[in-house]
Amino acid sequence: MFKRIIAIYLSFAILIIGFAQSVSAALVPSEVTLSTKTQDLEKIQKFLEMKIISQRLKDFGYSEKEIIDRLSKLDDNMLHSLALKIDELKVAGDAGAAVILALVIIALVLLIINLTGHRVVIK
Amino acid sequence: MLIITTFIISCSIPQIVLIKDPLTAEEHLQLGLSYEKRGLFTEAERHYKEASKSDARGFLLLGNLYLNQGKYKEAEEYYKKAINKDEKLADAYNNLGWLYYLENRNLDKAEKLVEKAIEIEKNNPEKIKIYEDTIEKIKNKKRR
Repeated sequence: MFKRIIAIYLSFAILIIGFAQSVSAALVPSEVTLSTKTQDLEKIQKFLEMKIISQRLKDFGYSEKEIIDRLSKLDDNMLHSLALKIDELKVAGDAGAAVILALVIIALVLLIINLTGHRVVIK
Repeated sequence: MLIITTFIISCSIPQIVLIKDPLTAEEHLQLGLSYEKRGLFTEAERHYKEASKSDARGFLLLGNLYLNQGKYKEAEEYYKKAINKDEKLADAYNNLGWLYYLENRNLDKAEKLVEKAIEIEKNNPEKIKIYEDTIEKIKNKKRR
């Protein structure tokens, strides 16, 4: 009786697994489109997150040495968190009344920047 | 006095910083995929959208992202965008066909879409295998 239950269970499991595979096979998954091995994704992510942070620090005027110094202090989790919040990374400053004056300049700069595909933040 | 004035002005006037995008479209796609696999869908979406500005695969991957979340309407929209941007993007035809199969509608159209994918990738046996699998399933559904 026990063997029979096991046999029925295994037959059912094989059927379900086979069905699940055949259903997903007809969609071309994103990793196939990109020819990316899933096991490489972690390394790729780390490399690209470092690239993002490094460029942002460069944008804010940090030297190569300072960038390397800061990046070397980050572990994988910190690197990941920072990369996710990179768009919030701004240096605080008192804009004050000068903001109104600066807005006029920024509007003009934005017009030019948009044409070159860059983005602008105010720090 | 001049130094003090210069200092005050430099402190109060906002500095303009040019933000360069350090990633290529391919890199945005790879990072988006990595985030998608980790369940960070909003971040994945952001990178796919960034990539789609210059690479039709961005739209295709957005379509896949939405399809996997069961958002079929959005998936359809982005597969169509991918095809419009790059009419040789065979995977987009296949996946749109597959979406119609899942929704059990436009099955004739779905078949034609996958036939188009096969025609585009006729020299790629690995892809052909997947596309033929799709078309086989569509045909079976039509017979029922």
